[in-house]
Amino acid sequence: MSENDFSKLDDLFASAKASEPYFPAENFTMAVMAQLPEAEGLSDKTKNLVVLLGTAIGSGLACTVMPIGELARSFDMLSFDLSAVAVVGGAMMLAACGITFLAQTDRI
Amino acid sequence: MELDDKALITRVLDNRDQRAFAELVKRYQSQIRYSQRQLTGWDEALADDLAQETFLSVYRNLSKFRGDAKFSTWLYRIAYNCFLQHKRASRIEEPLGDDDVTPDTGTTDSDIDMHRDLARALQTLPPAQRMAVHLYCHYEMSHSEIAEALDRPLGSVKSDIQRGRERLKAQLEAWAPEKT
Repeated sequence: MSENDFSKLDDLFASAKASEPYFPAENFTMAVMAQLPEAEGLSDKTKNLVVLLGTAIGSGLACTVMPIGELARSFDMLSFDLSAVAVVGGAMMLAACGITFLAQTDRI
Repeated sequence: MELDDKALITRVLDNRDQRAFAELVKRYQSQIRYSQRQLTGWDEALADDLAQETFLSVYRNLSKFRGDAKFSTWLYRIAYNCFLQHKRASRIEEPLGDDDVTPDTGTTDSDIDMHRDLARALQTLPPAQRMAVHLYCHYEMSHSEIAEALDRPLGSVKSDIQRGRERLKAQLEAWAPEKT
């Protein structure tokens, strides 16, 4: 056999490949699955859907019970201007974003 | 219909579907357990521990799988890293004596003995050569796939395979069955 002749080695590997044992999966797979970390609640996609749905439903309910006409008259009486409403709306939006962020990062 | 690897991975990532992950484990467990046996000199308990650690690591890091390589290539990279981590941490792998390096030719010719002897011969190679030769000679992976799996330059992989084969040839020459 010349120095570069790997035929015996290749034959050996071919025999090993042909007779590679198959190890039964059941017990091994069960052992692996038993060690997986517990599912940590909902997936990110589901969490986002829950937040969106909750926001939509909450907003819908709020609109149905909110005395919009009275509020508008109150704003007139108290001389609220649009900029004050915008500030309040912006603050509420920031709060909603903060809550969403906390929910998505598992802090609440 | 059987789902392909990519579809199973998507299910695991999107829905945390553990049944999909179990299917991936079932699909590859035998190959990974065999490879770990070849890397550890056919230490069956250690090989199964490392194979389990491989799949746990796969589960933890599945979101990092980019999908531009085959899943099996990525899986072998993790299996190799688990073996390396164990080797660095424990250093239990004792150098084999001369009697162990040369496979026993006269005891038995059963298949398992052949695999065990091959594993013991592979154990004399440095880890990178060992894995490269195993993937090249047993699983017939290409040089570039092995470079990807081991995260090593292509030239180093080619050199590892050449040197590893030469060293194995010298060890196994007396043992390998004559061609008829």
